[in-house]
Amino acid sequence: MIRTARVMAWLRWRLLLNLLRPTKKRDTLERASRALQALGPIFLALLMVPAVLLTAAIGGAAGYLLPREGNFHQNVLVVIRIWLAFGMLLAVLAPFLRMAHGSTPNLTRFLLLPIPVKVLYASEALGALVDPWLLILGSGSLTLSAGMALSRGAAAGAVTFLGALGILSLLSGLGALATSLAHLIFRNRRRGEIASLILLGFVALAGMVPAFFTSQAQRLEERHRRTKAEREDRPRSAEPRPETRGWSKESSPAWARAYPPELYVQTVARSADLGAGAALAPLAGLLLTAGLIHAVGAGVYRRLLETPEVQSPRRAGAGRAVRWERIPGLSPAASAVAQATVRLVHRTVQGKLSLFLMPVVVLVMGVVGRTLPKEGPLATGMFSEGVALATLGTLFALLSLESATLNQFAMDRAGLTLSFLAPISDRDLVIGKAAGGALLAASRGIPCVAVAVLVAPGGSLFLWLAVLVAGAAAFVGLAPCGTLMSAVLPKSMDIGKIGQAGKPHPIASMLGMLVLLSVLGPSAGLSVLGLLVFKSPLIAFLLVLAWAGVVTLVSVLLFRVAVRVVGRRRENLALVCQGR
Amino acid sequence: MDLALETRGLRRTFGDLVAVDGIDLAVPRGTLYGFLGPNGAGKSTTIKCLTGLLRPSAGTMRILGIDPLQDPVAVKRKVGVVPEDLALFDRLTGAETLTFVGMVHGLERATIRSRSAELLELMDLTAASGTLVADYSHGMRKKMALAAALLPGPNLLFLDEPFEGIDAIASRQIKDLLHAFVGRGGTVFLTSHILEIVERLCSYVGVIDKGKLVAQGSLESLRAGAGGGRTLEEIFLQLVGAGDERVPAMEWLSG
Repeated sequence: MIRTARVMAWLRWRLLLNLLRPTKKRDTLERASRALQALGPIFLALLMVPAVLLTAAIGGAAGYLLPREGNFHQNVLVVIRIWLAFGMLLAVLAPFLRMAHGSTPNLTRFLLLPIPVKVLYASEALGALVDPWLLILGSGSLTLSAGMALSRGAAAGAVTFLGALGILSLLSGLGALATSLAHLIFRNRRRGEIASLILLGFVALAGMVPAFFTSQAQRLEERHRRTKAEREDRPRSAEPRPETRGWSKESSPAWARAYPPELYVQTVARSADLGAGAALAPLAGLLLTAGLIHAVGAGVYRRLLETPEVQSPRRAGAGRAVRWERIPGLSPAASAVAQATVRLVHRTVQGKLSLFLMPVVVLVMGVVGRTLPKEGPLATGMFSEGVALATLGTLFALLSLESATLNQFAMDRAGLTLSFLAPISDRDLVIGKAAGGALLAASRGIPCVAVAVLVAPGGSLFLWLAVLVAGAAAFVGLAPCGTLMSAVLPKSMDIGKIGQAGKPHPIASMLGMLVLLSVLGPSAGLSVLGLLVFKSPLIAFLLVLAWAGVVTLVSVLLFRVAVRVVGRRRENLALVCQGR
Repeated sequence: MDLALETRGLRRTFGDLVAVDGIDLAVPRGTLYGFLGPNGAGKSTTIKCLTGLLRPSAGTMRILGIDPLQDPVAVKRKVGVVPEDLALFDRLTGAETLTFVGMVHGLERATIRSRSAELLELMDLTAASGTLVADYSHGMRKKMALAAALLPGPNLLFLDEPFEGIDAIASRQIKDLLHAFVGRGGTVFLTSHILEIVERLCSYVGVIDKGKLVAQGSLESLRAGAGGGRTLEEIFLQLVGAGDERVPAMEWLSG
């Protein structure tokens, strides 16, 4: 068992170190950028040290102060609950997010080794303990029991220590169980992509929840002001005295006490309040739950290892005619490249998410914006103006094109070799890719603008048109720069993956953002000029239109350069696509 | 001799490494040419140079009478390639892949449809024509890559390890197909590690070792040069100097 744990630890360490090894990538620029990427985890690891120490100190202080008199007990318990909820959420979500990012360890390799399944499961569960959030949580809960021992006696300290071990064991078990379930789901490509779609959609929409609360902020603030005023009017003798003992019994509703992290909170609260004896029941419940989760986790892990390579049956999809129209104005080859690009991108999680989620986000912002005040510090109500919403939607659409424009060749992977082997000229390839990007931009931007029209119609027609022209100009400006960056800074990637595995070269991303801002900035500035100085939406629109003309001229010149650069970089692109 | 493919002093280096060292290939039209060599000998690099995926460091090439360095698109209109990595878009279906290839070659929609149907039927992929290539098995991907190479009706086929990872039925079908293709005047340039297949299928053979072409000619001429009556495997091992190498004893492999 110890030998296996040592080997697993060595394996994790080597994998981490090998991330920093120079690769055979030929670009010096690419090597430098990869080194920078590898430094990120090191900085995070260094940041972990003060985080662990700080949490340990806070945990120790909380453990020492909880048994003492005062009216802060509930506040401390709330902080512990938030920490645990955070830890539990991460333990469950992190394996799914990791898997959605494309990190799938080779289980078959482990299975071929002479290691019993129980030992493999134990090392998996123990491995979860070194996840950053569990390390931080663990340091706080262990020092809390030390503080409790000092303040309330050894027995209370021992019970809370067992409680800390129980909650850590429970969370590591949950992590291992979630990892096994994620493996079972993600080992099938389609199922994995659907899971990623749901997960990312959930995370993206969950990120908008604060916007709903913001709309209530003023109401809550007002209520708070009223309560404070009432309290100040009340005679001082009416204030309740601080509690002494028995506070732990009221610290949570009865129904919440079956919730595993609450069992730990109850163990801590009762140890501090009533002594070790009173905390034995929740402690037993916590340990029992942890044991149960490990039993289920081990069962799922065994099932996973017994069928490591199982795939669901392939979908048979025969007989459908392929709709593949020639795009007017493009050669057959460029047309084929454009349509292949659109199909490839829309068949990925990111592609589907961008297509379906962005109009929803615009819709939610429009609806939320209506409830917000139109002035004052929370003046986000400006988004209820349809033009502002349309601008936001257009910006989302442009930003979502990152992979499709900034790494447009390497994202095809082996498919790019097919294009290179086919009789496609450099010009057709570049034009086809740009046309594909334009179709993607339109398919994402137009629904957002349509939703903005539906949610908040009205305003000057010229301003609506200015938004569309500015968006189109931004794409026209970005397209040749994207082609150049895709040719100069190709990165082997899978557009089906989220995270770094599905992102273009970081330098290309940075430059792409700069290009976008340098085209959109003047558009915004000219609109403001037209509205504020000339007081005319028509002039604002004409100014944006003139700027779009300038951008188009520059873009045409840049495309000529891009075609030559792509021709010279074909070989390098082919090598990157083959993972060389 | 009318040559479908000819190179003179073809050389490709990667830094200090000489992958292909000045080879002179001569592939007659209407033949099945087997290009053999040990792992890392330079076979794939040669095919990549010939198909335009790599630019040669030195030397000249003529493919179907055209210099691919001068007019790569014209050459690509006349050749079909199944490369090492199969070169397929993961997220296109089989039918879409063939449509893409047909459109790129400027074929009419009706032609694409009828040829696709025939090729999918031949490769036993009709039932999977609407499935994403990402969901294909290795053998299915290989057959799809071959179908994509054949769809435009090429004059010359480059096949990198076409028989690796496919079942006996498909292997037989592909062999019949290649024979028919050559029978109609087409030329096939293929690499394979399965020497028995090359011996039965190919009429011309070239052997590359450490980047140099160590032998080239018809099978009969190679046999005659080696003293006659020898198998291709024996000739190959002799040419690349691997026949006399002894396996170390390794007594610990006692079983």
